[in-house]
Amino acid sequence: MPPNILEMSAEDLKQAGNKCFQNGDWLGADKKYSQAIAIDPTNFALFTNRALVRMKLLRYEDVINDCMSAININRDAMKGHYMAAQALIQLSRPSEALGFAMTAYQLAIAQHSKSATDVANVVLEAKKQRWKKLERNRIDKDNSTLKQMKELIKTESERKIVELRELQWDSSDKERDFESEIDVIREDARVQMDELENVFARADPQRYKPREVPDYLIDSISFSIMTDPVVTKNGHSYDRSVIMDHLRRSNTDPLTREPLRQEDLRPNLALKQVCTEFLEENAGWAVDY
Amino acid sequence: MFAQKRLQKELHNIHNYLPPGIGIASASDLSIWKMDIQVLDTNPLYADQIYRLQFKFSQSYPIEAPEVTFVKEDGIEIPMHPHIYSNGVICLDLLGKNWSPVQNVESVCMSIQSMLTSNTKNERPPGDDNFVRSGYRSPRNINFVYDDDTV
Repeated sequence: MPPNILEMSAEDLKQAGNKCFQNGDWLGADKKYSQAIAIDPTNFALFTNRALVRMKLLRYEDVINDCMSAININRDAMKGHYMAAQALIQLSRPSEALGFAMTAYQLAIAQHSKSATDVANVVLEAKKQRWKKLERNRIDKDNSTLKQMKELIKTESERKIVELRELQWDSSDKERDFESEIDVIREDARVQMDELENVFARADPQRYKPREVPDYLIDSISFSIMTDPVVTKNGHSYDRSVIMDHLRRSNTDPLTREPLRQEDLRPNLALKQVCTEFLEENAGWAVDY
Repeated sequence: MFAQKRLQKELHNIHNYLPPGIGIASASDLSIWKMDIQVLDTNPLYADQIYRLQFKFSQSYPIEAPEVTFVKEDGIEIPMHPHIYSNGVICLDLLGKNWSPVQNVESVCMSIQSMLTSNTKNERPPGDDNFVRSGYRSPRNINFVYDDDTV
């Protein structure tokens, strides 16, 4: 007989949950953490643990709820902000995700977390997703002609579907597969709209300029665009989370090999501003550049 | 971590340009690359020879140094050098305690190329036989003595 759960402490249940998690038993872990929370609803780590399990189970709304509970108990719960951002990205809610991701990043830096580079990547991911959404809106708005033409395609395909439905209503032909014919009409319309968008995109010189990130915005260790540049004594800038990874291994300046400590790093605010503005305009492609 | 992205970019860069005497032999994935190097002047030790370097990258590259060794393949030998053991292990501070994450595959190749170019001694490191017999393959496990500045 397993011990009666009423006799198990929240800590025991948490350990049991962790064990399930390690074995890849997400549902078991979810159950144990839930029982632990029922006993001790004030321990934020129980909520972040359960959020991680629910991330595995793709239950993103629940992840966000658990993260919010964790944050309400402890405002500095870095993992709570971090996972909320990840879940919101999965739900295509980039603006909210960005807010959580930026807080997570600040907490990760303040807490010297080894996850800082991963958190910084989530910030970029949120910026990229937001850019893509805004870009879509902008294109749609700029091209009212495009919008009208897309309406025409839509109206035409809807008219065909209505026609088919009427036929289906009157028809006694059991062999004919009306549903897949309707699917074909919808798919055709979608392809037509994509093609139309491509044609308009090519005609727009603004969006046809070369997509390159200038070298001075690129971190010379990770080769990616910087989001939080810091400058060393010799005047060279690196992304904060990346140079911190290096300093954990070796307290030297990567270029001069002189001693360099984390305390010697200074934020490069002007460069940060340039990076932020560049990402505002180009995040959609610059993040993966 | 950023190992994959960085390696993809390095690969892209070296496909576009490499200094004379350095070439890609293979880079089919992002964990092991092979690079060919040639000594360009008339150093009789290495004239008309192509040597092959193997780069092994960990998930922590470039924070952690790659493992770089010479490899012996059909018609390709290990170059003779007082800092290169006959099993291909290279004794170079740049690949050990003096590694810096701003180094890259191209710069490592160039350092090793110039290490060969400037060498005049047709010999192996002292204790080569013992070292090779002891079976060390991974340069990371060895504490080299970097005290000989003459080569």
